[in-house]
Amino acid sequence: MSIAATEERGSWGGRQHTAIPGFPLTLGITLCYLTAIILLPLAALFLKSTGLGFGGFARTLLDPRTIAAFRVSFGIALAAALINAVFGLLVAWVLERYRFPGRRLIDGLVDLPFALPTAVAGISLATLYSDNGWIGGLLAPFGIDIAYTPNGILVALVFIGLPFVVRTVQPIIADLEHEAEEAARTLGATRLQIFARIVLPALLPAVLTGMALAFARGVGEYGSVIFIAGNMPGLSEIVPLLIVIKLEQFDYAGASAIGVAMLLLSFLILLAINFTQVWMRRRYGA
Amino acid sequence: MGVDIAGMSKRFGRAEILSGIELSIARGEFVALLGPSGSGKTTLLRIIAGLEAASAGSLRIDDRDALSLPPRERKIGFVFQNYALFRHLRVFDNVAFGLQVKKRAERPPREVIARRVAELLELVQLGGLGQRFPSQLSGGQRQRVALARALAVDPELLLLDEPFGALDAGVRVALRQWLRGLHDSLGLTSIFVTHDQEEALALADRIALLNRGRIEQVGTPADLYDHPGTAFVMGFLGAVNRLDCAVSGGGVRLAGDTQPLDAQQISGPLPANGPAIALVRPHDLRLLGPAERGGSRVLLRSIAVVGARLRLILEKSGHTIEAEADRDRVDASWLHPGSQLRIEFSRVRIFATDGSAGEAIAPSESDQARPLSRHPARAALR
Repeated sequence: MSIAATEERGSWGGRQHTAIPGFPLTLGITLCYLTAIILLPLAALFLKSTGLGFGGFARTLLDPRTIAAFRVSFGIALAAALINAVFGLLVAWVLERYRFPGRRLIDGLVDLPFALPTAVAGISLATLYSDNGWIGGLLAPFGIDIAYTPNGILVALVFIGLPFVVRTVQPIIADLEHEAEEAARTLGATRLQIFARIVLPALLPAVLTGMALAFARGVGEYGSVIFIAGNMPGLSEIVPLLIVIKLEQFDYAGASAIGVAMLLLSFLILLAINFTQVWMRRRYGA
Repeated sequence: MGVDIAGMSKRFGRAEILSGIELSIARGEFVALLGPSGSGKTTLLRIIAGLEAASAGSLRIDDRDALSLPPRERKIGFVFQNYALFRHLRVFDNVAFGLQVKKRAERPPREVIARRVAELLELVQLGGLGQRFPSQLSGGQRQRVALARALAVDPELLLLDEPFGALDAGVRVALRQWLRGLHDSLGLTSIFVTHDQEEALALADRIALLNRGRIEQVGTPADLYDHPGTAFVMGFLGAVNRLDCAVSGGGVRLAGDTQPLDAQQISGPLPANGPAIALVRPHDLRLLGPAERGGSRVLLRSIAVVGARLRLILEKSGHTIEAEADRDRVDASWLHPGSQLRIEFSRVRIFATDGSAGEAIAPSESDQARPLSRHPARAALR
């Protein structure tokens, strides 16, 4: 191969020697794979939803029940992701920065929501948080209902989203330069100032990534939520459930229309988060 | 500001990192904490800074008990070995950090901070680089940002942990002269940690040489070099040859010699009668010409020309000895490997064999402590 050809390709492919050969080949496989696994099913979804025509499409989406379901799904997934961002960061910090008996065990526990069948999680949570459950029983006298209300959805989404934040942030905490914190101390910063000005900015991109993953998972979550949510249309009905209901009523086009809307919305939100991260990385010159 | 350390010790579990540290540093001094790795020098520096707690003893900075003060009230500036710059902040904000985190009542207004930072960046010759991120700077530049950041809070005591450790040799020498000049012009008191004896000798007003958590000796560079108090000190500050000897009745006889050394060949006090070790520097050996009398018999193993110097590897009753001489002053034409020569020692120092000294002289593997690492006498020292 001539040098000129290598140089020319350099702007697209890798200029350096890499372990896996052939930029055109690998890119080709990548595109085919993504097409088969992701793009084709999504295209089918789009295609199916066009059966409604624009009017039917709009009617389905503007149905108050649909709008309410979207509000519940996205609103609560966002709230759960925010809660997980805070507490996931805390858990990751404790697991990375301190050595204590049982640390490995707790570290392993974090992954359980990944592994547990979601229906099992939903049923256990519903039992725990119902008015006569262990936790629900404690809260009921204060008039706080968790199970079979939107609060229940929040609890379920916090449960399944936690590992996403912990596992994205943990390696970044391990990489943090401890000396930067010490340097801040010798310069007179208080604990709060060290956290806010030194530690948090370094962790924020990772926290945001974890949050985005937890959010995406939360929006799509079905199994655990339906057992604890109560599923009242307009109040505690999530979008995935609405789709299932439409399917059971043989309204395939309507179901796919909602699916398409959900897809677009999720995609836009994830895109926005990605751009924020790129901006942060530029800003902080990471 | 003066620093007074008395009776200080530090333990981690059962390991004793520091013990019985006594050190007084006068205002305006530039002091080196020198020692091999694991000698406790960095721990001592971190205790002075307040980043670590002492297990016992007292620390007074400017006649105030400092051990109970948090780092920010000790009026110190600390420069870390790997700079520890804030990677997500621009150079300007790195330097301004110490001013920006002050309490509202003490914090200077924004314009004053900006002016102060600009001055500091000029001072460390980084004017105009304030908008860069640390990742966009060279090692020497980062080092100077770290220094400017430490100086921003107007410290009276500057603490530097291996300040030149991560730099190229050329940059290192230039930067250390510059730092010394800065210390003098700002009227600081400075303590720096190093494992490089040459750096300590070249830069410091006084050196505290640490070994295994204890201070072996404190003194000016000339003091330590000319009057080493222990075999470790002599071995750490430059190359030495180590020979077995015996002390009896005020005389010293080297192993393998029939005649004792003359009194004028020996420097410093003698230990008690019995077996001892004799240390002598390579340049304190003189080759005797064929016409001269006396001296010790040695076998010439090899000979090398090192610039203006001649380096001879000799063998004397099982010990390998290195000798160094000016090429101008020695006629090398009659020197061939394998020939028998006679040499005369001068400025030999005799130390009691305390067991630990020999081990301590041998440089540890991780240490880059260069004194003996290129040195053939090393084998004999082990």
